[in-house]
Amino acid sequence: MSTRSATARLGLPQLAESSYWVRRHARALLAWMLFALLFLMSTALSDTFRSPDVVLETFKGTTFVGMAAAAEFFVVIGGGIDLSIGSVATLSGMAAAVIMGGRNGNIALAIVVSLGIGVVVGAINGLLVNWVKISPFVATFGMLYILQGIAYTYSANPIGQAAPGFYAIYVSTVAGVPVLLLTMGIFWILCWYVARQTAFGKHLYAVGGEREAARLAGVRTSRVSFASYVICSVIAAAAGLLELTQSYVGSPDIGATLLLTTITAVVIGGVSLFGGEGSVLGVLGGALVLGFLSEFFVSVQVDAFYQELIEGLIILALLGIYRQRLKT
Amino acid sequence: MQAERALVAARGIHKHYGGITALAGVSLEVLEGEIHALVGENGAGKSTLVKIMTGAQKPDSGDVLVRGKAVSPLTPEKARELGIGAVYQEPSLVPALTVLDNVFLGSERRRMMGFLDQRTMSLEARAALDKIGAHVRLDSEVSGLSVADRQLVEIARALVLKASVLIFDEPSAVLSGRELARIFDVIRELRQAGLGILYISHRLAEIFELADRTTVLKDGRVVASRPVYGLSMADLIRSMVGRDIRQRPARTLKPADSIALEVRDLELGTDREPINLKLHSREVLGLAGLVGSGRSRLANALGGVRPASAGTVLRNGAPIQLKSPAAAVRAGIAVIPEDRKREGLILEHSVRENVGLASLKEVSTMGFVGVGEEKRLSSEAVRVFGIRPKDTERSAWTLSGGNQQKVVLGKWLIRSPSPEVVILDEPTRGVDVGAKYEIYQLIDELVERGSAVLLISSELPEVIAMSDRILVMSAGQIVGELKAGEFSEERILHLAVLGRQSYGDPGDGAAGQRSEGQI
Repeated sequence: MSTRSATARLGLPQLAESSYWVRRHARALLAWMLFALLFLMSTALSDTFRSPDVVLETFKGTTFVGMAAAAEFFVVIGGGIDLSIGSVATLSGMAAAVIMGGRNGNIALAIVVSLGIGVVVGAINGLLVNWVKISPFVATFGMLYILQGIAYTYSANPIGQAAPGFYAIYVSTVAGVPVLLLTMGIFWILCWYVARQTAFGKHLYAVGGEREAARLAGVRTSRVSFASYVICSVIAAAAGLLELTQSYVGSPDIGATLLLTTITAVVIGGVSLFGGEGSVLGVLGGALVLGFLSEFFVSVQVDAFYQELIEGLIILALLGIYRQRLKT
Repeated sequence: MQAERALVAARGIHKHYGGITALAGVSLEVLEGEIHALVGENGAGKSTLVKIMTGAQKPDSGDVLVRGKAVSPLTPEKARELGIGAVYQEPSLVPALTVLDNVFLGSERRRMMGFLDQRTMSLEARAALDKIGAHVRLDSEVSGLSVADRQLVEIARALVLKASVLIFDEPSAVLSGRELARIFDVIRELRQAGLGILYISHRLAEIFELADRTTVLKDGRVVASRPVYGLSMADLIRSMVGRDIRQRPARTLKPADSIALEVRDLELGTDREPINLKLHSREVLGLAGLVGSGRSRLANALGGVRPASAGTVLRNGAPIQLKSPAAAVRAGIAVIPEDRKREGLILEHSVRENVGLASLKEVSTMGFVGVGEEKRLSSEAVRVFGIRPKDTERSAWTLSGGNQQKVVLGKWLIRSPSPEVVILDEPTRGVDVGAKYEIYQLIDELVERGSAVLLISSELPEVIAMSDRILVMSAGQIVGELKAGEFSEERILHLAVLGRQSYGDPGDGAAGQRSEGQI
């Protein structure tokens, strides 16, 4: 074995390799193309959409679903599913609003408690799935009801109040760029990094793709899966905090529709619900598609009820395309 | 023995699954710079031994020794650390990850803060792949690789782990021809480099081509362990066969002259000769051959599961179309599949519901399932076939393997009229001895009711004891027919291993013909 020939082979990425990259990321690219199409159609059809402020606001509007989709991404890649993310976000938002009570001094405590809720819920989900061996669907479905029950028992109406220093995150800008979007940029890069550049990420893909193969390779499969549930719930809790910067009060209803939107985004982003396949890039694309789709309907003044119909059609069309690609 | 020189050794390994003994006191060692072949028929315990030596499963008793030291418990991680690498049959790579990711899966090189050291990993992986002549890209997804390339990736994985022992679990089950020859070259090179190789196979020709030493497993025991030099094919076959089968009275009933099923020029694949066979009423036609010889493929074609591309099938002399399982059932053909848990039973359903499923039309009125009728039918099946426990409301998964198989058989056989043609694919696999004989009795009973039976089995004593006539398949073709009185395990094995050319007296210099033994 000669090291020299090996280094020569490595070299720099060559042009021919770019087509390879495209093939591997075909699904994610499809989601992004859809997003680009929506974006162009919106600007072409609506005057208001040409204003940068409107565009930035639309981007900001996608962040909540985006974060939740990233949360779901980690569990789904690992071969599981988490139906409780909406109720985790709800509970986290309510807890933070109550603890803050409008006072800046309580922000830190509120964040710690909210994320702590995420850790605990994720740990319970991970335990139920990996050691008690309850199917993820059932375990997290149960968790969904328990958490939603706790939320409603605590208060059926919006409660508490966000501190001014907290909701400033949503409105403040740095050099014209919203702080929120900067934060999200860092968040997505971090997600990409964890998924693609760490041993944990590789193990997660392996566990979701072929659990027995991962086990034989020496991966501690249950631990990896457990970690994915914790990560998911923590991000979901953070999404609940994000929503609070916008709604100011902790509402027990914010998570109600989140679950289905999130799974829609994940699927549009090209993640296989069977696990082991998909990319962070794709999920971000999927979340943007959903966010801009609703804006598009507003801008062309089409009844919002059509949105669900169109979403359904997009999902089926994309899955049909993905399926075809699999066959070849 | 030379246990202290052994890189890895198994000592007195016992392993049971439920009531079935997989390994009964197996010892074996792999020395530095040798290729050690582990052979045996299907179900002899080879795979179980591999799983135990790689830490994937725990033995009931006995030890695995690495360089003379007992390691207990041996986990997959521990085995890797100690330099035991394995090349499994699929799936042992993660299809959605790249070659590089797979090579280092579970042993990623890291820098600070969880950063992966992609550069070092790329260099090491490339070097390992180059060493074994694997021209695959590091960033290719494994899902796009050929089976041979996948095996090379697995070998590379063992090399970057600095494995000193490499276990190959039946590469010839998934590879053939040039690809297999390439793996053989790699294996020989690894031997040159001083690695110990344990090569698992049930194809004898390969042993002579590759191995230095061979150990034969039979029914979970080592029956021979000797150098390949000076060993003849006939010796090897003789040590593999000769399993005891309890004497059972032969069927007095002789096959009828009428032909229940005739297959003419059935095409099962492009590069294979078409299949021709005749199955008489009241006949048990044995179909012997190695795993992968095309027997199950034939069964699937006749059962309408995977229709053949061309050819004619005649039932009682009239051509029939077998485009779906439903069509086969209508034509009076019942296939009892090998994988009963997936294809034969709905595990969560009760015995009653499973039995009723094959006779839904008979037990239903206007689309409503008559539970009473189902109960009657399943109680009868339980009584006639001796299914235990007798409770028909038990879920199928709670039954033992043998009793599950009886439910599968029962569901078809209790129908009235019972199917005229029954195809049984490995009916006694994973079934304990007692249940085996009950299944044999069921086959007899079927014949007495006038059915024709095609019996696919890898257990030679079983085929010999049960059949009126035996066809042997090899590489997708029927290579020989044995009539009653010509049956012997050695003859069958010769045909199955060497194909048509070598059919003749099994005693004469079989080792000399091994060059023809490509399967």
